[in-house]
Order: sequence, then structure tokens, then C-alpha cells
Amino acid sequence: MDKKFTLSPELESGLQDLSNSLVATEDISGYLKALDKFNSDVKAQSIMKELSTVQADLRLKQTSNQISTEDLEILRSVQKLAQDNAVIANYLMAQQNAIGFLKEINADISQLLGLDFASLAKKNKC
Amino acid sequence: MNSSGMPQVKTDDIKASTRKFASALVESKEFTRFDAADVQFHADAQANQALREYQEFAQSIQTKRMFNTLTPIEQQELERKWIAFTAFPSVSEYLEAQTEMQALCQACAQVISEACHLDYATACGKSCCG
Repeated sequence: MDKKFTLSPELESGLQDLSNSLVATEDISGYLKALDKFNSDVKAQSIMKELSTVQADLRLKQTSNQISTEDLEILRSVQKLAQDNAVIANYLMAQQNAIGFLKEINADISQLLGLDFASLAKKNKC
Repeated sequence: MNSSGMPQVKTDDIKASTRKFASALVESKEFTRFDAADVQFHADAQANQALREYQEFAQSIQTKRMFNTLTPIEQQELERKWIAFTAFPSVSEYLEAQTEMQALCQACAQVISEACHLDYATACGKSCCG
């Protein structure tokens, strides 16, 4: 059973300030805008859904060694649609920028703590 | 503007809020306990010896573990060495303190993740496979 954690007022305040500062940065606010656009774009969502379906189908066929050349061509074709879609491309680029930025923040936090904050925060361990 | 083109005031905001959060985390009872347990464990020579013995044995049978071909005797020996290691009070305290610290960090990361719409720990953590 997971313990419901009650954060101290100092931590609550620190987290609120940090969260507010993060979403005000160029990298995170840019990502949030791109995410919003991505989620509301019908064409982008349709392509990603199709890509997901094709990939799931291929994973299934892979277990029984049944992937054909035509299957791979379909995958490449849908991947190209995704790559050529500006909304998807912008979203993925913004996501990478945001992740890179959060890694820098984590490095700063970890240096102040003397241990890796993200590693301790990871839920599933090998 | 700073050298990255980001308005200076935002860089200062981030630095200040990062420091404030890290300070609050360091002052938490969970961090205090974990820090003390870490010092205590590293000072316990016998516990560290037990850990080395466990790790050396685990390393020697690593391939068998990967392919699930351990003999019952090897499995028992592995468990025996682990139990011997965790029987030290400094070790059980360290493991308990670590569990609490992990829960605290997960709760904090959850708040950041919700604000940024990104899983903080997954984005920033190293994969378990290196």
C-alpha cells in the first residue's frame, strides 16, 4: 500500500515557487503551448493514432516472425507523415527542449542535495 | 538578457526557487534521517563487509541469475548472504530511511510533473540499464 505523503509547509511553498518558475521559462512554456496545440490538432492526433496502431501490429507480428516488406513500407510511410506534420514536429522538438531543461534543473537540485534527486524520485526500479 | 537569450529575471527566479526547494528538502526529517543513516552505514565496517560478500557472490552467479539456472543451494546461499547483510541495524535503518526518502522525492517530483505535464523522474533519471 502506498503511503500518502504529507509535505511540510516549507516543501509545499518551495515546490509551488519552483513549479511557478518552471512554467514561466521559455522551454517549459513553449512545451506547454506545443502540447496544447498537439492535443487539439485533429490531423496530428489522427497520424499519431495510426502510427501507434501500426507499431502495435508490428510488435505482434514480430513475435511470430511475420513482418513483411509491405508492413515495413506502411510503417515508414506513417512515420514520414508524422515527421512532415509541423504540429507533431514542433511538439517533439519542444518536448526535447523541455526535457533538456529539466535535466539541468535536476543537476542543480542534486548538487545542492548531494544526491541524485531524479533517481530517488523514480517509481519503478529494476 | 543573459547569454542564453533568456531574460535575466527568469534565470534568477529559477535559481532562487531551485535553492529554496532544495533547502526545504534538506531540512526535511526524511532527509535528515537518510543522511544520518548513510553516515552510520558507511561507518559500520562489518555491515560493509557483509555487503561485499553478498555482492561478490551475486556477481559470481550473475549469468545463472539472468538465465534462471541457479541451483537450489546457490539460491539459498544468495538469500542467506542477503539476510546476513540486512540483519545489521545500520543496514535496516538505512533501507528504511531510503524508502522514506524515495517516497518524499516521488511526492515532490509528482508536483513538478503535474505543473510541467512531463514525468520528471522519467525525463531526468538515468535508465536502470545505464
